[in-house]
This record gives sequence, structure tokens and C-alpha cells, in this order.
Amino acid sequence: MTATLTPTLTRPLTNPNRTFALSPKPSPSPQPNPHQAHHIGYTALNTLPRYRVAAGAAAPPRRPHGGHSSGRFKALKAQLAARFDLNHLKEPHPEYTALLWATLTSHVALFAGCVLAPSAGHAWARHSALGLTTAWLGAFAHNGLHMWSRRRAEALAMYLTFSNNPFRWMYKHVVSHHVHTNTCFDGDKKVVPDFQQWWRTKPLLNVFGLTLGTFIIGVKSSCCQAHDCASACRLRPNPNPDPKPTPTLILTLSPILILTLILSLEASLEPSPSF
Amino acid sequence: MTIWEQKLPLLILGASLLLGLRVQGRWWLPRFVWTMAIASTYTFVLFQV
Repeated sequence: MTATLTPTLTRPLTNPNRTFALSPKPSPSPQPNPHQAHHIGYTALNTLPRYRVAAGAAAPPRRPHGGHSSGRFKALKAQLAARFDLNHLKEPHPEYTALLWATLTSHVALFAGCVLAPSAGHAWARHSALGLTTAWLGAFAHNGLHMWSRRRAEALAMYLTFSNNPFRWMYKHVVSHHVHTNTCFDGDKKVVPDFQQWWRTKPLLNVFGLTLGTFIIGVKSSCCQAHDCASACRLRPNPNPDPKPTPTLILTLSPILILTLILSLEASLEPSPSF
Repeated sequence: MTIWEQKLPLLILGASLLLGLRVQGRWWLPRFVWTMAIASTYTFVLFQV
């Protein structure tokens, strides 16, 4: 640990060269450490010297949350618990649990369906539905991760969303979002205005780029798969010539309909105030 | 947060990509990106706005 804690934040001290040593050998340099200067306030500076222990001396008994602030802290916790009752999440309603397991089952089944899709149309449609279950599963995992103690099934479901990891959860969500909620330091909140700006500045490009592009990709992949199937059939005659027509066009259109619905809902929302 | 907890998402993603590419071919990748696009849009737009 670095030895020097220099009080340089908001008000001058009577002795600017005063240092607080946490190690037996104090630092001879009077220059403040800018990192510590921004993280150590006057409360800590006034408190830490009382806990300094001389070399060889016995440590004083520890009193966690002791002193005059203990009563205020307990009162604050009681007020927060009364105003923000989370018991409906701590002890979830049976409907909530049923929705969780239905979503989890649908997610796993849809993923298996995507892997084993018989046609391109089926694959695009199932991947679209997999996107919806991924989002819902992330919401359930969010609630499970925030509980103390964590609900393990929901917490582990975050891994099945494919796009989240503990590092992102800890630093982007818990620290950035929950410590700096709705401020310019809220990483989660900042994504939404960026998305809205991207969408509103180039709406035509987005409509045609996403919907038409998806349509072309879906139809082209269906045609490629049909062509490959036909080529294979010519090379190796099928003893049972009864090909079932696949509703590729309808299934290819379904992701476009879902995307159009999502973007229409987004476009109808009021723009969020700037930070 | 152990090192394996941080590596697990990448292992799951890698296994999913390898399985999909082996069974469905090269079209698995754009379809998987399409899934992520829908999930991200649905999450950030409908949940947080």
C-alpha cells in the first residue's frame, strides 16, 4: 500500500505538509498522489489516524458500524426497506417462477431447433424467436443476480444469453448503472439515446437496410438450400420422391414483421431528455 | 469472480458457434448475429426506455 495520504481536496489545511502514514515508514515526498487525492475524503482522513497502530502494539477492538452513525444507518435501512419492498422478488410468485421456467425451456428448445432446423426459413424464424427468449432470459437473470442470496438457476441463466459475462455485469451494470443511475456515467442508460439518435438520423437507411437486407438474406439462403437439395437429388435419386413444400416465404417474413414491430414501437416513444 | 467464471461465457459462445457451423453451415453466423440484434434491441429499447 502506498504510504502517503495527502489532504488536498476542497479546503486548505493549517499544515499543508502534513501526511498520514499507514506504513511504519512514511513517504518523504510531500507531493499528493492524484489518485488517492480524489478518493480519500476528509472523513476518512480524520478517521484513519485513530486506527493507526504502532509497530508491536496490540490492535484496538474493532467496532463495525459503531458510533453515532449506527442508529442513523439502521433507520435509513428501515426506511428504504419500507419504501422499496422487494419481497415480491425475494419470494417470487408462482406465476413468476412458471414464467421463468417456461422461458428457460423455450430458450433451450429454440436453440436446439435452430441447430436442427430443416430449412433456412425455419432457421431464420427460430433465430428470431430465440432473440426474444434471450432478452427475457436476461431480465430473469438480472433479477436473480440482484437477489441476496442469489437465486442460482436465474443467475446461471445469464450465461445462456451468450452476450453477458461477470465482468460486464459487475462494472457496466452494478457499478456504472446502479451507482450512477440516469446520469452521464450510466453506461446502460447512455446506450438508449445513442440508439435513438442512430435510428432517427437515418430512418430510411435503417428500414431498408435491416428489413430488406434480412428479406434478401432469407430468400437467398432458402434458394441456395433448395438448389443444393435439388443438386443432391439429381446426383443421388431419391427413392421416395415426395418433397414437402416448406413455407420459407412466410417464415422468412416473420423476422421482418417482428423487427418492424420493434422499430415502430421504438419510433413512437418520446425522445428521452438530454443529460 | 474467478478466472473460470469469466471464461465460461466465451466457452459457451464458442461451443454454440462450432455446433451451429458444423450442423447448419456458414449461414449460422448471420443468423446468430440476427438473434443478438433482436435480443439487444428488445432489451434496451423496450425495457429501459
